[in-house]
Amino acid sequence: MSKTIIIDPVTRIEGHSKITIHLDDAGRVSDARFHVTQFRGFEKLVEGRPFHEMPSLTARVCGICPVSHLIASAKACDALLAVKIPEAATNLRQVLNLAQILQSHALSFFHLSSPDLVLGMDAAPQTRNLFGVAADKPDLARDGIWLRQYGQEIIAHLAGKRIHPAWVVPGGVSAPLTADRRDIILAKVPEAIQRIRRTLDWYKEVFGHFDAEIRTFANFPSLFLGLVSEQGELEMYDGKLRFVDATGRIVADGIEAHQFGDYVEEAVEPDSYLKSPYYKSMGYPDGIYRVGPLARLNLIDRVGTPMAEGEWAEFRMLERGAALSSFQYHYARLIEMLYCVEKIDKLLNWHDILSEHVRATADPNSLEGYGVSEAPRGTLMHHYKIDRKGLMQWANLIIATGHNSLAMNKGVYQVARYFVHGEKIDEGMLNRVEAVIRTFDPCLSCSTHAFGQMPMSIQLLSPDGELLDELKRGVR
Amino acid sequence: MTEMLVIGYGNLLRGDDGVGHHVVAALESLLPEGSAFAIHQLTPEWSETISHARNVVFVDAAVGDSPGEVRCLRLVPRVYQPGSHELTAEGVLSMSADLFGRYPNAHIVTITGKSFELSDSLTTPVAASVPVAARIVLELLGENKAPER
Repeated sequence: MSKTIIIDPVTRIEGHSKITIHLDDAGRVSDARFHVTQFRGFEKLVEGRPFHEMPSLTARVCGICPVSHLIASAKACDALLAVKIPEAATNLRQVLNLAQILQSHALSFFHLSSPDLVLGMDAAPQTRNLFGVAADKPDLARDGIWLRQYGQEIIAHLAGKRIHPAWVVPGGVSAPLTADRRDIILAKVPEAIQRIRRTLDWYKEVFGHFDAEIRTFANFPSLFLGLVSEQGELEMYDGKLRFVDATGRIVADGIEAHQFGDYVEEAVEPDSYLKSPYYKSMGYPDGIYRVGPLARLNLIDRVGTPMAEGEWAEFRMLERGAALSSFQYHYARLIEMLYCVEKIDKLLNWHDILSEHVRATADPNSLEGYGVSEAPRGTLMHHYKIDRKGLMQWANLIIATGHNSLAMNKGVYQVARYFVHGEKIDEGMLNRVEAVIRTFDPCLSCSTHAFGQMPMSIQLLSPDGELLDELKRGVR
Repeated sequence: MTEMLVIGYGNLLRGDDGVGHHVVAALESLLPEGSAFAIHQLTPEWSETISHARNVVFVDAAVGDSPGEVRCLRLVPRVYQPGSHELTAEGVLSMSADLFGRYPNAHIVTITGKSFELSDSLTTPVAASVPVAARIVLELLGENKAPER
């Protein structure tokens, strides 16, 4: 008799989703699906609003990465103004974006995923959380708290507050950086680097213990997408888009944001509000691609900062071509944290970073604008159309997590086939199916989240709806 | 070491859930600069911050049958199974003790809400309780200043 297992909700991710696993008559996994069950509709909400409100409005999409939306939105608005923003403003925006990536990666790695890595996938759910990490490996927990705090402090020093700052505006930023704030940020750089390096050393020691997970956590050939600089370096703010294939070969390069539609189409799945983009010339679903830390480190020619460069060289030794296992998103995230701190250090030491000239002003000179940047979870795009009064007529936001939709689905199926056996559900099985999603660090809702486990139930149902087995945790 | 901290938390767009912010706003001018915080939710980072304080008061909305009721409880560290969207004040204390070797004297002041639906304002009974809660916070902190009504 065929059966269906439902994991609802998926825990320790940003947002709400569920997973359905279908078993055939022999109890083998025949299909598995990742469903995003919430609907936001920001594109419709903003219609009719003045375009200059867009950075602040779209920042409300997310409580974890509002800065990412601020940046992409402000860049789209810059394009509407058709102005070149001052170099100091560009560099300050970059620092803000890097701080955002730093704090978000710290949240993902330390608060959400480290319980699996420290305590093991089969550890009791009562202890497999940050409290368990604090008890078992307090240095790691402290490093996570310190690094996230540091990223948030940089955001607050630049933009006035940690969450939903409004400092990034069309044409630049609303206020220059002061010397005392720059110096406060710079003073902590050495400690940040020390803590990240310590964590990287630890990760490199332990990831070999997860051989089965590395082999099965969304480990398959796919394309990878992200921004690269003109020099082929890791780029989070500017640059152009590049696709590479599973061997690391460049498939398409030098793509401007406005050309993105020539390369990618979006499929709509009947069971999810998350759209599924794919590389157009390979068709659906073969045009599957991934974005985010793993993709970024797979597609660059070099990193561009010395310490992260050294770590990247080791990372590249994982496989002959691109690193294909999504388990290594964790590794890539740590290397990017190192890059972020090095790059922040470099940008804040730029000779004119305290310039008073941080904003270009103009009326709209274009009726259509694109903004693209790298968010913690991958490439983020904002595309706007306005009327001659500057009112929003149309918006399309392509969120980083959306790019990974097909890959997450395929990853869930791969893990379920390896770990799920229909006779009985156990916690370790359940957690691995969730953990593959966690490697992508999806941001689904996105409202403010902390960490831990949401109430969850997993049910094994017969085709006629009979409950065959049920596992609950945290359900009150 | 920071002598005292007040941390009010909740969602300002969910009606009475944001009452912690209002209590902090009522207290801000009466407390030393940098000792009162209004935040959306508690996160692990607060465990480091409170580890430097002697006396901490958390202010939160509560669910119950008597809207506007103000209650005060002494807190001790307590490990629990955290949720994706929550970290309790007791959990923050526990993390502070485990990771930073100390935790402050701590209380929580709760105000029972009437409505947690989408709204950016408090209901009448909850708004009326803001100065009451603020006075209790001051008493807990040993500050003998009366907040304005």
